[in-house]
Amino acid sequence: MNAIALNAVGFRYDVNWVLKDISCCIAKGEFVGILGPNGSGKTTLLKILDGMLKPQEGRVFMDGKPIASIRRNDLAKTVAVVSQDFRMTFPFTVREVVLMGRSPHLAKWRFEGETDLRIAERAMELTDTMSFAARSMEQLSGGERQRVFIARALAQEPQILLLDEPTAFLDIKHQIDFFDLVKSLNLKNHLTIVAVTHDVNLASLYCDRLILLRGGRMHIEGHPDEVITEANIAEVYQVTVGVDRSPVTNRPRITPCIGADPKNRSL
Amino acid sequence: MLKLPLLLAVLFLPLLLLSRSRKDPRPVTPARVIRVVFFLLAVIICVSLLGLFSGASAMDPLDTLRRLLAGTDDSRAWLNSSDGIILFSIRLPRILFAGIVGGSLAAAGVVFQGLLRNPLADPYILGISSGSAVGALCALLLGVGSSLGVSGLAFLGALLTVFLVYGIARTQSELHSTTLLLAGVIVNAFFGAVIMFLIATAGDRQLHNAMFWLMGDLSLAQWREIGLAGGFLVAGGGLILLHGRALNLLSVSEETAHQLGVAVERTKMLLLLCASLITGVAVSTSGIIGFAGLIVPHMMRLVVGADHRLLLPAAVLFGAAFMIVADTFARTLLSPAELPVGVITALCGAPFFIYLLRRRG
Repeated sequence: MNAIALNAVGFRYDVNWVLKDISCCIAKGEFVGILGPNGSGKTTLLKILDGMLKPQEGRVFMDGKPIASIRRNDLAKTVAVVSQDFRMTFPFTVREVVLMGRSPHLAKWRFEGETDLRIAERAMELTDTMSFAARSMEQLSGGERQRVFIARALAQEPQILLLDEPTAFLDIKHQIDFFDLVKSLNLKNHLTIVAVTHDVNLASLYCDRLILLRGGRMHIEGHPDEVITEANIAEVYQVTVGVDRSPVTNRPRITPCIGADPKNRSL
Repeated sequence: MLKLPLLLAVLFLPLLLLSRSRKDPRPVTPARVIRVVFFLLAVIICVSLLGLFSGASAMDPLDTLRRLLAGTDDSRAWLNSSDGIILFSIRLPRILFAGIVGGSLAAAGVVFQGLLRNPLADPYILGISSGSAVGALCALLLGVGSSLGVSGLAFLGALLTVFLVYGIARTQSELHSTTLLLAGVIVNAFFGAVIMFLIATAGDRQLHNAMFWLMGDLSLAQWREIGLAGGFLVAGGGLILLHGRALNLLSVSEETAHQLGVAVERTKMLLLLCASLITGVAVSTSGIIGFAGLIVPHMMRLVVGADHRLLLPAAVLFGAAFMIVADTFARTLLSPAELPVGVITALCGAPFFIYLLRRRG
């Protein structure tokens, strides 16, 4: 069964279609990357999947059910989101933030019970955030904060995890740590992952399948080998790159050709 | 005069006790909320008793108690004596009203800061203060709508302003925090000009009353206003408390709240309306008491943490105690003359806030 199915989805904020004719299926347990230049509709697509935006055209199915028929609260039990790192205005502690993930499972006036505490602790153990559970969020580094946000997402006990450029502000070590963690959750817990990213090489390393968007339409989808080609990247991103294979992982990787002359491949 | 330092001690020292229990890493539980509530209720009772027996005419608490318990006829006679009238018809309602106003401002401050994710937000940020001031000044200076009275017109002004600001900020189905803030600033500025105009054209005799109202004055409260403001505080505060977890999520970000299953727009409207009504009702009788609604939420956040399910009740109760103490100062510092209570809230609130900030950093 598909975790997510999109059928000819179109979305517009005003008159111009931001997304048009998007049809694809994402199987349970898949790790899918969404690539595309700025303004190609990646984040809009993710916001449709988490129910924030309602498409004017086409249908979206989560777990076989039309997303429009799923109550907001129930959708939050299935789909969790980790976005770009951001600072909080108020001094919540790490444990409080992780426990927020239990919110969709609780009635409005209910406090978190023993079960919720246990689930939150397990999420913190999985993400290695237990050691600073009592600390305030503002005392953490960007990498630590993102791990806390994954822990919160796990506390939701979702089947689908949506990532919106989650490593945008992280250094290379924390980028790798982050995606290693997500990949292990994907393999061990059979979490379906949909990740929007600007980092083509990172996506190539971790994703089973890539969807390349261009101007709100699907340019191509498939295995990284099919998607990451010189022709596709040149067409979609308007840059000239060289594509070879990583000697470590045998996945395709891109190297931008810099300099005024696009034919200059000397680098 | 010895009473005043004692009052300050009774108000602030318990905070140190509470803040030590903040080290407790466990999350907020109903039991902890109840503990904090009873603790702060005790503080309120202490400062109220101290306030009741401070003032221009000195009374001995023990003597008063003896007279009250002496026997029905005797104590009824005493209640009608000047001392009895001062205690139970002048000071007691004023203390109750101070508590209600303090609690209302603190509750609204918590909600506005959380919803707008802005630490500088206070109950007046959406123009409620200037709107009700225009209403009150119309009554005080121009004698408009005398049947409604000063507070009636002030409440009307507050209500109209709130709807005006929401109307300006609302686009289709969404209400953006930044737009809301800007609309509040603009409306505040416009009504500020109207206030200046009214004051500039007013006669000298009316000016004193107007200035007192503008700086906050708790002496106007009658039992009717106390009941009204108290009712709004209990109902509105209860409704806000019921949405405490949603307010937590909204204070992180609206996207977070949405992703965790909160009906963002509906909850936001409900909370804003509750906070606005609470503020409007309180302000319409008390005038514009600055600072309490800004500072009390911050103090409590430093002491009990950011979880609104604990923060809101703590802020309401401490706001009440804070205002009772501030009003006692305002009544007694230059007695028999009176200061506007707003002067006191700013004078004693700011240094303590700085202390809390420094201690934490």
